[in-house]
Formats: sequence, structure tokens, C-alpha cells
Amino acid sequence: MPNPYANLGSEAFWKSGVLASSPFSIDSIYKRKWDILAQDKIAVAGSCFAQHVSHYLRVAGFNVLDVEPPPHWLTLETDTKDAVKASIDPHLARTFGYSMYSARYGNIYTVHSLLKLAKEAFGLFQPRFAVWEKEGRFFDALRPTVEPQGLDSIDEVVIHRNAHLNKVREMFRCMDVFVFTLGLTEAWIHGPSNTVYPTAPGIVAGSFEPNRFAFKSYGFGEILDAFQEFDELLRVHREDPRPARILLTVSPVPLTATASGKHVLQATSYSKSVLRSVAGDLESRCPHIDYFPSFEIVTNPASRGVFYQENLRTVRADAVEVVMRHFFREHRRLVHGGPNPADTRMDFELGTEVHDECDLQCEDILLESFDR
Amino acid sequence: MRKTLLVLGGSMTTAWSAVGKGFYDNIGVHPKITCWHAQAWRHKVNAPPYSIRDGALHFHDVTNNSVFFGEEDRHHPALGSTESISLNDVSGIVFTQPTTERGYLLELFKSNFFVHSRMPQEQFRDDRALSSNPLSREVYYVWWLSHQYHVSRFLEELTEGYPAIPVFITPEVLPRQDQRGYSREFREYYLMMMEVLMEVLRRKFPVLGCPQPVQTYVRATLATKTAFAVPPPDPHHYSPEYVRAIADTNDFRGFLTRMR
Repeated sequence: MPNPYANLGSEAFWKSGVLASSPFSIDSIYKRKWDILAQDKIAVAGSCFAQHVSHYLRVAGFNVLDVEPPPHWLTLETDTKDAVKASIDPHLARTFGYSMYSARYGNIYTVHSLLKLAKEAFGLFQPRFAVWEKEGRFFDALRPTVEPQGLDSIDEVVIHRNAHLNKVREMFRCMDVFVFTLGLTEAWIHGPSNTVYPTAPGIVAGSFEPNRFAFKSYGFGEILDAFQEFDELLRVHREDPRPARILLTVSPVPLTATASGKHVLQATSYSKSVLRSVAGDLESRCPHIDYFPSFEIVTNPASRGVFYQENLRTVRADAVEVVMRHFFREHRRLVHGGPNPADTRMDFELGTEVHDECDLQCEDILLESFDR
Repeated sequence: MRKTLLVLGGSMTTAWSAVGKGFYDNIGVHPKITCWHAQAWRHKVNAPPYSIRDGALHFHDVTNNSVFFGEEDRHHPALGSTESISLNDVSGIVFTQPTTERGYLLELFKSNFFVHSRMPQEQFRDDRALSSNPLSREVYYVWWLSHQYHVSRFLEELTEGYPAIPVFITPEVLPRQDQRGYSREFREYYLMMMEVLMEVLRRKFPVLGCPQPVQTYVRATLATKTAFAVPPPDPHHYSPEYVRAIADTNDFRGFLTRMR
């Protein structure tokens, strides 16, 4: 062998792997570590980009859990009465946080939020300041957007949360595959109790009190430790003695705003680098953890930013299709309702199933309204 | 001149006819009662059984299918009118239509959906909430819309277009004691949900209303006393006595004083 690069595949070289490769169809960018079987129960969580993954997996026929399904009257499929058609928005279920993920937890942006959710579900953690108020309405501070109008009382929020946690516990116990999209490293916390909120107090509800809430930027070690603690928690509480297979992705959606004091571009780069490093480290060491490179597919320099909408932040619906096409090359669709997974053309003529980015529920985007 | 009370709705308006002239004389109003078949509300999205235009309420396809007081009442002069009513002449409206409908509610109950609420003078029951799927009032309202969409549209038109006319929503009636097909749990659920609906409607629209008057049911069994509901096999209609009990509430008295 003349040198260690001599026998490497084209994917190992920038020129052939990126420059000469279509960003719409990148060979060998993802090789699955394990299979996802038709009977595998899949749970999905993460930042708002994970909603796409969840949707596509459902459409492709995978057994995606929905432990808190929407009441049938929030969907059009089960009731075709004219009156219902006239009154109900087809996206109403998602407005109330239903069917976005496998449970009604809303977006889980940070690994620490995920860990706290799991600990709370298993009775190992009690959040503080978990109910926020706005104009006489009460919100679950840990998923403030699932009830856009809030609830009537603190008691009602607590009851709803306890019922939610029951379902989440059930989900963590029975799932075979967990798909999680890492979104952010920045969060707002209540330090003494280690409560992590998905959005800063005062954005959706509540009020920001500097002596109570603090900004936190999690570093590589902290996130890695938190994920490993979550993984261990699952092992202990699962019904199946085998570890749950975990598929990690990193959200390609840049930060809307940063409270780190850095430029938002720098903060985004740092955040995504840390998350990608954590995912890479876990994937390289743990046989049950795989990494799917949605981040790389969307941010590929060869795409010249075409995968983003005009705000250079929101991922286009057709770009998600490209991403998921790469996924389905390795994990074959069980139902062929959508575009041909083998289609490698630049094809933006998509089926009706496309889950438009505009439909996504995203607390992070609310920060945009504070931009002067 | 006496104020004009317009009673609108489906077959429940039968009871408002049957209370008799003396009842209206006593509360000092002149009644106008009209009735339409409730099914018309659910299935005619593009052709609802009413329209409000030029200051008047016009009716279409109004039929009186209420036979619960006997076939002779089918031709009661106060019922089944298709004459337009000038809203300028109306001082207040009693609207009997926006009920949750027991059949739909039973379905909701069986699906284990639950709006967190409390029984009058009782504590919250966490155990029930934990074993069920809690619903917010917003989602419950969407459920109600799914079978009473026209009613909401009608209320919207009425309260926005004629804010000076107070609207009173009549409460539903718990199943009677001799309607044994309903469990105590469902009766409890029924009472709570009707209260929640009233609360939600009051929040959504500027309407008035009251829960089922406590003297009309037995607290221990949550069954409506015989005098206040129509005998089985009638599914859910209330009697003239029930109308009198509603009229005796502070909420209804407040409504009367707000009539223009």
C-alpha cells in the first residue's frame, strides 16, 4: 500500500465526496448500524427538526409510538361530517402539541431537558417553578406551548403534567428505538433545583426574574454526561433487558438568538459543534447508538444554502425530503406512499404528505420577535 | 309595553311553550317561541336553518319534530313557526340548543377523555385524572364544535351583531333516576361536563347561563328528580317544571334585568 489513503472510497475525499457529488444525493454518507424492524416501537423526541423525522417515519409506515394521541375530533381522518370539516383546522392537533412526537412533551431542545423529563417520569426529579402564569392563565413551564391558551388553574396544570408523565414513563419503558434530535446547548434554568426550561421565562408565559432564573450554556462534558445518565436510566427502567437503540441527529437549524454574549453565528457554530461532537462520541463508543447526518446533508457547502428558506434558518420542506431520502436508503420504507426513495434526481415535486416547515411548532422562533 | 323574550332552539323549546301563559305573565315578558329540528344544525353547513339579515332572524327548513308532549303539541301554535322575527323587537333570547348531547358525551366518556374540573363542593380527584386523558377546555370546546359548529356560528353572529340583546343558554338535564343505563360515574361526568361547557361558552361569547339547578336532582345519585325531566324513553328533554326552576335562579333573574 503506497499510503493509507490509497484504497479509500470516494466518500473519504472532499473533491469526490462533496465537490463532485450532488448535494441531493450523497453516496455513503450514512450507513446504518442496525436495522429498524416493522415491529420495533419507535419513540421520537428532540428539537423542532425532529418533528420532520417523526412525520416521515410515520408516513413511511414505521411503528412510531404516540402515547398521547389526539382526540379523534382534532383530526379530519376519523370524522368526515361536514360540520367538522367546516370548523376544524387540519393542523389543529399539532397546535395543541398532539402527534408532533411520541408524547405531548413539545420540543426538547437540550439533552438536559431530556434527562430531567426522564427523571421526573421515573419519580427521581421534582422541577421547581414548573407552572407559569400569563394573564390569569396557567402554563406548564416545561412544555409551555402545548396548550396555547394555558389552563385554568395551577391544579389543572399539575394534573395534566402528571398524566403526561405517566405516558412518558410508559413510552420510555416499552420503546425499542429512540430517535432524538439534539437542538441547543443554551437553556434557561433554575439553578438550585436544576430545572431546565425549553424557553426563557417571559417568552410564552411567566416572567423573567434574574435572581431566580439563569442562563446556562452546556459544554461538551456536561452534555455527554447527561446523555449517558439518560441512557443508564433507560437501561434500569426498561421492560426489555436489552438497551434501547438510539438514533441521534443534530438539528441543522441555527439559533434564533443567543444569550451567550457572542455573535449569533459564533454561538450557533459552537452549539452545533458541541452537539455534533457529543453525538459522534456516543456513536463511536456505543453499539446501540447510531448517528444520522441530517446536519451534514443540510449544511453541506455544496448545497450553497439552497436547503434553507429565505431567512437562512428554516429548513425547506423539500430539503427535509432530501434528508429523509438518505435515511430511507438505509432503513427501507415499509409503506411506499411518498416519493421514490431511490430517486436521486433533483426533484422538488413532492407528494401531499410533505410536512411543511411552517407547520412546525417552535418556541425558539418566538425569540425573533425580540429582535430590534 | 312588555319586553319580548325570544326562545330559540330545538325540541327543548317545547318545555318553554308548555309552561303556559301565566309563567310569562309572572316574569313580565311576552314570549316568542320557535323550534327547529336539531339535526338541521349538524348537517347543513352550507344551508343552516337560519339567517340573520336586515335586522331580522329568518328561518329555513324549520320543522317541529318534538312529539314528547304528545302528538297534539306537534301543531302547537307557538312551535314550528317559519315567520321571520325582527331582532329590533327582541329584548332577550333564551337559547336551548347548545347542549353537549348525551350520545356524544357518552362517547367521550367511554374514550376516557376528561376535562379537569371539580364537582360542586368537592375536591379535585387526581386519581381520575391520572387514569384518563385530561383535556383542556380549549380542546373540549373543539370537541363541542365538532357537533355544534352551527350553534357557535349562530352565537357569534348574534352576539357580535346584536350585543345589546342578552342571550341565556339553558342548562342540560341529568338523566332521570329511572334511566338506569347510566352509571353514577357517567352522571358525575355529565354534570361536570355540562358545567364546563357553560363556563367555556360564557368565556367564548358574551352569553349568560346557569348550571342545572341543584333542587332538580338528587345529590346522592345525581339523577334528575321525576318532575323535572320528561319520562323515559325520552332521552334527555326537560319538563316545564325544569323551566320554572331555571327561571328561579339568580342567573336567570340577572338575565331578565339585562333585557333591553
